[in-house]
Amino acid sequence: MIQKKICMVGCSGVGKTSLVHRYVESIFPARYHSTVGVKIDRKRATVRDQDITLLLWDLEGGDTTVELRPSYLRGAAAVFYVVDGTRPETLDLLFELRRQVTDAVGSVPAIVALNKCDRLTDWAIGPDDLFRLEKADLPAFQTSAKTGERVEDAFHWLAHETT
Amino acid sequence: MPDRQITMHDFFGMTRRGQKRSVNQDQFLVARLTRTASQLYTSLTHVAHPFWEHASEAYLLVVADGLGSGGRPASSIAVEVLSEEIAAAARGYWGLDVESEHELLERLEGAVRAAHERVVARNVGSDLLEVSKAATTITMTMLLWPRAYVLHVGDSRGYYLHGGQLRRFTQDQSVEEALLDSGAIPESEAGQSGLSKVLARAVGGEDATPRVGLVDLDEGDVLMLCTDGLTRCVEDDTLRAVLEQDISAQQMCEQLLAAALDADGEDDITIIIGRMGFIT
Repeated sequence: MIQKKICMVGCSGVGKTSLVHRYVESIFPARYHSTVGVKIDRKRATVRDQDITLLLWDLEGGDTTVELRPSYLRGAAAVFYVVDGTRPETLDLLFELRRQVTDAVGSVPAIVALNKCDRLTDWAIGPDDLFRLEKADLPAFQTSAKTGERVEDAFHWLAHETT
Repeated sequence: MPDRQITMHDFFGMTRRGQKRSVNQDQFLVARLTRTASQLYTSLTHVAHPFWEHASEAYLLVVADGLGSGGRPASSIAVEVLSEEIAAAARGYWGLDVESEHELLERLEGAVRAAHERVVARNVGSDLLEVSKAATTITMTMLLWPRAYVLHVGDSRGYYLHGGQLRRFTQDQSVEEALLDSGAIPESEAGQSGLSKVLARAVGGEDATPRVGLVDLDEGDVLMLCTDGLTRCVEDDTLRAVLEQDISAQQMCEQLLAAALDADGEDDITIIIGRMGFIT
């Protein structure tokens, strides 16, 4: 079966691990555990009538400074960026992360999850931010690992782009 | 400066029966897997850094903490099966591309499954009382420098010291942790449920699915695997203070064991330490 490595990339606490849990196990952990190194999960998906295995590499995020280990990115077929929609600074840092990803693996399919969209009163992503993403040619979904909103869609969209 | 520098790793492992236990149910293994490449003839007058000397080495580190009165055979069986399976699986994985890396991870997971099946086979069909049935934790690292692949089932732990920071790369798979994660019990009641020692996942138990991950290490990092006999009685600050010292892996193990025994040490204690990539 075809395997595709997808790297989850974003700052610490944006919800990368929670999105993987929601997608793979249909659960949302109530507690936060910071990832150390890389956690690896698998998920089978059907794309264009073809069964593939997505290898989800959940990369440790940094707090305010972000420095990815290029060795973790090696061989990535796609990158799933995650932003915390209640913390706009995590979107600012996304562009630096993308530069590092491009340096490491070149141009690969990518998506941005604007996560925590269930927290409407704290939501801090506005039209200008969406315009920045559009200008950078980064497709975005509003997701909630907590409710599951658009999580499956986001992963499936990216899987589709890799095949 | 010597004319030839070699990056070495320094490993040590030890286990000690708990002060209130009649049998030590822990097991451990530190193994070096090699594919030899020796220089026989060359026209070169001086080969400063033969690249194959470390590309051809891998290390397998395992700690296992047997559970209940059937714990000792369970941890023994599990470590034996893992060593057999992984010695076979490691062949051909010295220079990893992406596909062969995932194949390696699948084979490591397969080794855990094989250990689980062998432990379950011991239980099934026997007249053992339920309490005597076998199960064990497993925390395992395969080091293909600088990458440490990690597979973990249960509540033994893996840490590494990097830049003076102690970092834990495993999460305990106890029933209490699962309840806290699901929100069934609040964080304020952590440690009070009486379920922190009851495992949600164990090799030989109902669910033996390993958590899989990896960490890339740097020269100077210190890797440690241990059973809960150490971490239930020695605080993280003490672990860090010991691992920060410029002493051998054996001395680190001995100091941590002494600290655990000073702090009661009623459970079996097993420690593996690896000092990564120091220069000789």
